[in-house]
Amino acid sequence: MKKRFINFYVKYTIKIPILFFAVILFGVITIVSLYLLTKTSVIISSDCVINNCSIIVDGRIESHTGFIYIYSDRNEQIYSVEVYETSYENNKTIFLVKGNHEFIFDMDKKEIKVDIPIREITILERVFLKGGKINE
Amino acid sequence: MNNKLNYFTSIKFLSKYIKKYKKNFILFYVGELFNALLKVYIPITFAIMIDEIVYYKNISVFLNVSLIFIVMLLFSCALYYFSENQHCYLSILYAFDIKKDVFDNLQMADAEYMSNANTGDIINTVQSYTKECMHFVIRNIFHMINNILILIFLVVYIFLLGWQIGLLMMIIVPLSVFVSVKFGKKTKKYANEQRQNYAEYSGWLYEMLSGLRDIRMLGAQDTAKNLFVNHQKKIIKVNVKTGLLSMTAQNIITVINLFIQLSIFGVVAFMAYQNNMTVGSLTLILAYFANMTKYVGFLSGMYLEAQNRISYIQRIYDFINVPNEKNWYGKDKLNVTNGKISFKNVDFAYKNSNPVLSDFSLDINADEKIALVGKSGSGKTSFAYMLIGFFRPQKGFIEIDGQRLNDCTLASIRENIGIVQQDTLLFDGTIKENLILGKRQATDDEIIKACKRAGIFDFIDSFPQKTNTLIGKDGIGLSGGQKQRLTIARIYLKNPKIIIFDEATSSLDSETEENIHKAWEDVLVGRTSIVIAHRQSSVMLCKKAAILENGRIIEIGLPEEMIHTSEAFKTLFAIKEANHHD
Repeated sequence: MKKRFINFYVKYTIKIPILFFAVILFGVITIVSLYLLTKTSVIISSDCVINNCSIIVDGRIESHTGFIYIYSDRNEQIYSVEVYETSYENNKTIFLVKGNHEFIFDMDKKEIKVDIPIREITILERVFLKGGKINE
Repeated sequence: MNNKLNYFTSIKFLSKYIKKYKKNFILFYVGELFNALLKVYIPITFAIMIDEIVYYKNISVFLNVSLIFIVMLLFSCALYYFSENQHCYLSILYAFDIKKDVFDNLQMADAEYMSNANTGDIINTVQSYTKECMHFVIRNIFHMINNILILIFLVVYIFLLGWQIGLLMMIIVPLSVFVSVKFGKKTKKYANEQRQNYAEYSGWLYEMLSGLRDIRMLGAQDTAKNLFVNHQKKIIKVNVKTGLLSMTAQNIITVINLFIQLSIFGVVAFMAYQNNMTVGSLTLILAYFANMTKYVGFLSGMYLEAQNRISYIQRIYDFINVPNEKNWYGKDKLNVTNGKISFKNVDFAYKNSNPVLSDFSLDINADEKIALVGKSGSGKTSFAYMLIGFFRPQKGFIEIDGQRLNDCTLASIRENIGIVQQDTLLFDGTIKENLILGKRQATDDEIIKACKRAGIFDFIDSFPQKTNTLIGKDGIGLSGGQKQRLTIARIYLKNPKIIIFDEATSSLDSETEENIHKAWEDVLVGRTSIVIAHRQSSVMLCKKAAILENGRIIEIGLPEEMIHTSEAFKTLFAIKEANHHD
């Protein structure tokens, strides 16, 4: 019984690589599928100016999620803000934000940055093409 | 033989053994490669998880990526399991194949080479150095390739994250390579020294253990102990040198890494301050830096290890390439019908020494019993070894029944010639296993008959398991006479037409010798026999005696007459008998 088990074990783990290839195939397919199915945003980080309830950034940028993220120090606090209208003037983008965002007035005098999700990519693209980086 | 191996020639030499297990090596490598790739991608996945949750509170992406992370870890475990199975399988079989080759070569190695070989070195070569070949293939070829691949991946990804950090990290590689190469040469030198010391020590230890009783009898324990301590000191001295060298190299690399690490921390801190670095990227850079340091350290360590291992592989390579009996060009089968032997103008000398046989000619008729006598070094044993094909004449030729030995196969020569020596080869096993060494297919009846004719049957029959009784370490002990009788029984089983007795009774007492001689009388009937003897009693069994001096026959005649007429004969045995009585 013991010898039969040993022979069986050696056969299927060492001599015949079916199980081994099956594991590799299963692992690779699962990981790649999950990488393809999970989507994440590509972010553009930019300096911005806050004027009343509008946030102005240089260039023509559009948030694909309808949200932008404002901060003065990314590692301290990031504020998620919903955009209800985006307009463009003189090569500048103006985001009009929804709701009561008093923090914006607190941040008024500081150097403020904004993260704008511009498009969606799969994790596979993010890992293999961007090295995991979130920024464009 | 004199080829000095380097990294690439070592790979070339070992590749012939890799070919046999190509499939397993490929599977092992595939497992290792996927595992290595996972080691690159797991930190990236982890970094994405962190960034998504810390900055953007993106719980759905976080959960999905966590799932990928878990699948990757499980996949890595499964790959490791299969790779390790292949590794274990290869470790056993790969080294086994090299061991087999070394052992085959050991059995066929040139007799002259073997007589000068160091036993300890041979044991180390078969047992330890063969394992080093496996370690070299796995660590210094496969892991090396993988580590280089991972390093390339890491460098590419680090440059994607930030070229400034990439440049900083790149400094480690050339510096580490420089330090490794610089120290590698010295390591190789010390490894060679270490191997030689260890081989000398093993050989010495083997001889000491064999002669432990003599050492006690001579009261030479202190001398033996001093020699032991000296050998150990020599080994320790080189060990310390190698250890220091390796530590110095590793420490230099660690210090370089430390400075680079500090610089990277500075750059990363600045980038984070400028909002150009996320926590995920920071974690990724630190993880990659740790990995990079580990792999660069590993590579330099492997390079130093490889230098060590190459010296072991060199030993195996040299051993496998020593001149051996495969070079024997005889193709015909030797058919001995009468057993007439002729040495015609034979010259023979060992390498770098004086001639052993010089213009040596001797005819031994069929069924003749001839004694070869002479002082030590006169060429008696060389004569016997030439007859069984251990050495080839450098000039002249040897014939048996008109067939030149050089034209015959070694197997057929040895099939037709039996040799009984002073030291009888008996290994741990049953009596039967020991007896059938020369004739594997011998039947039980033949074995019993041979034992009866050799006068050892009654002794064997007294044991409950008869011929299946164990002899050796775990079995019964045998006296010198009983061993000689077993050898005679072997001769009966093999039934060669020609027999050589090479100082077969030299170590026996007179009474046992007399009994053995009685057993000989029977075995000599109908065979050509050559008795190389230092004792007169053995010589007197023969019809003819030849006295050898400086590789030539100086006198030949009947022993009964020579004992009265030959001064050389009288002198020789007067000296020998006096020594014997001493």
